[in-house]
Amino acid sequence: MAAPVDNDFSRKLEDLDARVRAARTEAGLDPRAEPTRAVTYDRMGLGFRIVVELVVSTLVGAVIGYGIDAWLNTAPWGMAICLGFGFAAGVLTIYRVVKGYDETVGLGRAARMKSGKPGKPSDDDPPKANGA
Amino acid sequence: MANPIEQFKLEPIVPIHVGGVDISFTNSSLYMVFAVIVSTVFLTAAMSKRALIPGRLQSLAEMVYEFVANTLRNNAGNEGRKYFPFIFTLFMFVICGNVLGLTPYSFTYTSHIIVTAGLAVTVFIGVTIIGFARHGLGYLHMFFPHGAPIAAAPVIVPIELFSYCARPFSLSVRLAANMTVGHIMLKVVAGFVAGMGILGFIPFVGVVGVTILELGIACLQAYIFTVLSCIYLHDALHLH
Repeated sequence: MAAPVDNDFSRKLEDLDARVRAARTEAGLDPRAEPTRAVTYDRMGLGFRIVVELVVSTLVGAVIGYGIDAWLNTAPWGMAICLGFGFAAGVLTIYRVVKGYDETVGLGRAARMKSGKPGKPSDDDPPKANGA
Repeated sequence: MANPIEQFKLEPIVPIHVGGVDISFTNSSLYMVFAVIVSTVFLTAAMSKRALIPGRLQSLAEMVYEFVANTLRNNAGNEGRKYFPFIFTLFMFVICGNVLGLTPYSFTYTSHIIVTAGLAVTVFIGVTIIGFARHGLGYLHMFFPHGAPIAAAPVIVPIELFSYCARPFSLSVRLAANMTVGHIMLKVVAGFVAGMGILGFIPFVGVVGVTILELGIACLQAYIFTVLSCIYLHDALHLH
């Protein structure tokens, strides 16, 4: 007769324990697992994102290069080099978005956080369908 | 048909010129003031009762508050909480601009890239200052991934630096372009309603659909703007 009551009581205790723990985490008293900071997009959002990143990064590169040229009188080298870097930065950001890495700076760290192992960055991650 | 671009025209309401600089109070400024009034009145009125069991308006205000608070906590961690007032203001300003812009005859200030760029550059400068204030020159470590060969630095560092500098612009372009495209689309489809006579009900159904879609996009873009600001804040607070 005592067993079911006991069981019920311990279940209640467990339930209370879980709720207290959840509330503690919610209130920020416990350290918790770092969530990945990847923003999920719908398909159109993802496509739009890629276009914007590629164009904007290249433009930023061009503007910085133009500024350097105007300042140091190095035309056309500043623009040529910075245009290339800007384009590379755009491609890097797109790679990061498409692979589902988080938005933070630094590809190596993003890859580590995604794969969950703090060692070397893994290149053989299966591509994740981020747009679904 | 009315010109679909006309709705983005700035019209000075109170012309003010100071030292050759045009700082007129325009229709854009007017809607920014509206946004501030709407969000302030909404939050003050909703919370004025301070009921333990919230009514409809109070639950709405609490929902908005908790939504932003959770977004901030999930993306910037607990240390990000002290920046909540700024993030919440940013969210309310953007979402009010987007949603107020959907009412007929109104002006959408978030469709102007200078407005969104102003917001994004503020976030960018603030985040960079926080980063350097907390980590000193160590903040520069974020431009060079751990474990990369040092010989690769001349290539990696500029690329990461450029991708960092491009952030405020991609943030502002995305918001402004989404708003502009949506409003042009609405205007063009709506133009067909009158133009097609009795068959006008077909584009009318389309306008209803596009309006619902735009309402969704208005909220989603405000959310994305906020989330990305939180993520950038996280970068500055925690390097690794």
